[in-house]
Amino acid sequence: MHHTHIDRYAGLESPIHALDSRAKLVAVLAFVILVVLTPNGWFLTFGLYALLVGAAMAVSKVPCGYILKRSLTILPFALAVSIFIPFITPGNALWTFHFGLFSAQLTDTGLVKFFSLSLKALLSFFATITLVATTPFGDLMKAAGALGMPSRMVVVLSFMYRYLFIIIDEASHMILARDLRGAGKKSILLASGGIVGALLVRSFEHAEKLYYAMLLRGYTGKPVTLHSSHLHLRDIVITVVFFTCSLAGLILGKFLYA
Amino acid sequence: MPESCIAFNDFSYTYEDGACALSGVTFSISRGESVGLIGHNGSGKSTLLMHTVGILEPDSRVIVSGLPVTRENLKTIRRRVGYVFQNPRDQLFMSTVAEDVAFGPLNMGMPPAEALRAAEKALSLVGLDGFGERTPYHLSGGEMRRASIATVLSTSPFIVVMDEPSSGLDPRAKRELALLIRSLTCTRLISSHDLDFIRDCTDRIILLNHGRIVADGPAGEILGDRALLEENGL
Repeated sequence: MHHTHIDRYAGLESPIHALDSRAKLVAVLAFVILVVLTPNGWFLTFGLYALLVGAAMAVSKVPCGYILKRSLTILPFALAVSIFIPFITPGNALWTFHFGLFSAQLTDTGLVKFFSLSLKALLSFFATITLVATTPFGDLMKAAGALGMPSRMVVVLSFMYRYLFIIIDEASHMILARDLRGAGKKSILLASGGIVGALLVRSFEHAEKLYYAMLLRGYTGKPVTLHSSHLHLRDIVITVVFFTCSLAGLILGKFLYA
Repeated sequence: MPESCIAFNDFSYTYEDGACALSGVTFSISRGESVGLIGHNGSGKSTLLMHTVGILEPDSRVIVSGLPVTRENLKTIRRRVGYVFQNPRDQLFMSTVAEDVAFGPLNMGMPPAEALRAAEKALSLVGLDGFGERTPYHLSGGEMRRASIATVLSTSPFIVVMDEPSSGLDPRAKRELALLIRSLTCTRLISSHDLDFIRDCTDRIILLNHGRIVADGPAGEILGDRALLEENGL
């Protein structure tokens, strides 16, 4: 079965795809930190950040619809955190609601904070999704390893990704088998429990065999790789320029708002 | 390199739950032989194969490549034996075919450029030239099987052990795999209950029934004895 969900656009050719994955990871991490550090209400700065991310998205050739759709799946989590902020932040009341004995006030500072937080979340999502969409998962893991992520964690994440497809395959086969045997509403619940249990046992079995397969081929715990990637001057220049532009936005905000 | 490549001396094995998997198994395989291990489901084929590389429990009654299978010898033995699992998905775990095939050589300390050459050579040997950059889980069943064989051939093993290599393959893929196994020059021990396949790729056959060897002889002789095969659940 073919699953191209995760690495669907990782094979495209664009200047963003061609960037070294370590450089991309550093650039995105630095960008997200700058976005988070930007004080609420600096909308011009946010606008500049949006221009930068937008440019990167456009150059990467990854369809904007895809990035927006992926962001929409994470946005509810951000909204769940920020939705009450307009009502609990002290400030000038714009609107007062009355629910019987209770009342709530929508404040101006609350709204500014809410929009700023939502923008920060969106900008971070866009940058991260562009990074993930333009980098094959294996390269991303290698970059994370090179930047100091513990090797065990890199190995665990890589295998999670590698075997996700197999688990999805097995789950879909079992679900099909359940449905083909005409499972009714009640038995669907029962069968689903069985499917989850069977998947757990099968993943244990896979993990055990996989570990033996690695041991038999001389695995010692140290990750090995065929391709040693080289950081080119171009990668460093683009990362530095991207970071400087983001920083310029922050400094501009400081002059405008502080 | 000693003449006898694999030897089991009165070997028995009982699983922790009390199930007796192998009992009084004695045989030896010479260098360069291609031996088929046949038997019904649950006859002990996989257990026997696993003992050649000490997966279950190292046991010195098993001699592989001149060394008793003990904890101290495991590393050397595992370098010399290429073990192909029944399910290629257990064998292929890297993000590209080339990385998977180079995994063994790299772990054995080969420099990346040399490991890549070894990988390309092994891929070409199994007829998968140009498949290096493909992702393993997008290969067909036959290609996956051949790639998993390449992952052990890249380490130039003295002995190749394969557990049910023909399972899940269509007739043509099976014939091609049998030809590939025939073309190898190293010692081969192949388990299967696919009798046509085993006839195509081995010269000698060991027949197992409930953990005991009931016959050991030339492939033509054993596969021609219908009564013997039927008696032993094949």
